Amino acid sequence: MTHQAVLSWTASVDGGQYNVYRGTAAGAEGATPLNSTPITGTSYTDSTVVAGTTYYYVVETILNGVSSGKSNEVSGTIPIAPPTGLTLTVS
Amino acid sequence: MKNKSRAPLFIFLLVFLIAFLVGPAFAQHNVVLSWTASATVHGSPCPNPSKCAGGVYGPIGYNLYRVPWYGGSWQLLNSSPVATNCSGTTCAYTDLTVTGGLAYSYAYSAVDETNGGFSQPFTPATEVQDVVVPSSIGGQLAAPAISPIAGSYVGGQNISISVPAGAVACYTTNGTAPVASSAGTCSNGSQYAAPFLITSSLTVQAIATEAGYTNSVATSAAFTIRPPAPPTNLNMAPQ
Repeated sequence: MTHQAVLSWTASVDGGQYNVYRGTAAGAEGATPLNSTPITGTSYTDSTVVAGTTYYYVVETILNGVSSGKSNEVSGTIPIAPPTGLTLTVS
Repeated sequence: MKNKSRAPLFIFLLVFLIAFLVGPAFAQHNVVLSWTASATVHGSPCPNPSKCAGGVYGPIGYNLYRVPWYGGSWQLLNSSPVATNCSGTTCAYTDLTVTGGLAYSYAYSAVDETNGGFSQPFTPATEVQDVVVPSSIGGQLAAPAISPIAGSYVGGQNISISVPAGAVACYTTNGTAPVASSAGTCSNGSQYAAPFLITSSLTVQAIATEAGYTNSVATSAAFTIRPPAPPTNLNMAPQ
């Protein structure tokens, strides 16, 4: 099963673009955004997550090259998928 | 000992008529020189034939020289002796290679046949005329317009600068005054080519410059760039 974290947010200015930052501890997001180019929409799917890990995210607005600073931080733990293929054999 | 005689060097008081012609299409400076032709016309019988090669004398034309006040050597302006620009007793020459704002000294000498036309010495001390070319013949340019208007903005701003047609803009964003040392060349600041993005608070200053015109006064516009608001309601759905 492929894990992912789906992020969504509300725009606060018109014409803004967004950068998404991720960390594995509260307040410790990396300095380089996950997205290679600024995002024009208001959602992002992080498909590079690992099951069982807790991630922290913040998003910033970029308006014509000027950063807003960071949004509120969200966190969540990627679920560990239960084993599949459980069978019961009665003899 | 010279084995070649020197014909008389005709030195006459120069009468300079200095005109600064304004052409609407070519705002270019020039200096018009005029002087009284030699009373002795070329081909006159030599009063002392033993000193005149070919037995004739009289100037075949005139050489004109120039030196800028900031230094350098005397420069011969004409490629061949000026002879055809004489009408009656007045000869004229137009120097099209002057630069506005500079001062020059001019001199001329008559060129006689025996010296072959171009090596005739001259004595600037008795022949110079000083000329100051005005820095402007077309008036002062209108100051540039900076868009958008100065003020406070959220996010970066693309700044555009417009100047009168034919002129160029020199601008700075570091608080220093833009300078165009010679028309069209920015010696402090950048020559404006296309709108540029500013992402921090600063002041744009610009002047307009064009050959033949006085630089405009500076236009100054202070921009305050504020950050946009961050996104809200960030939500995560782990899957």
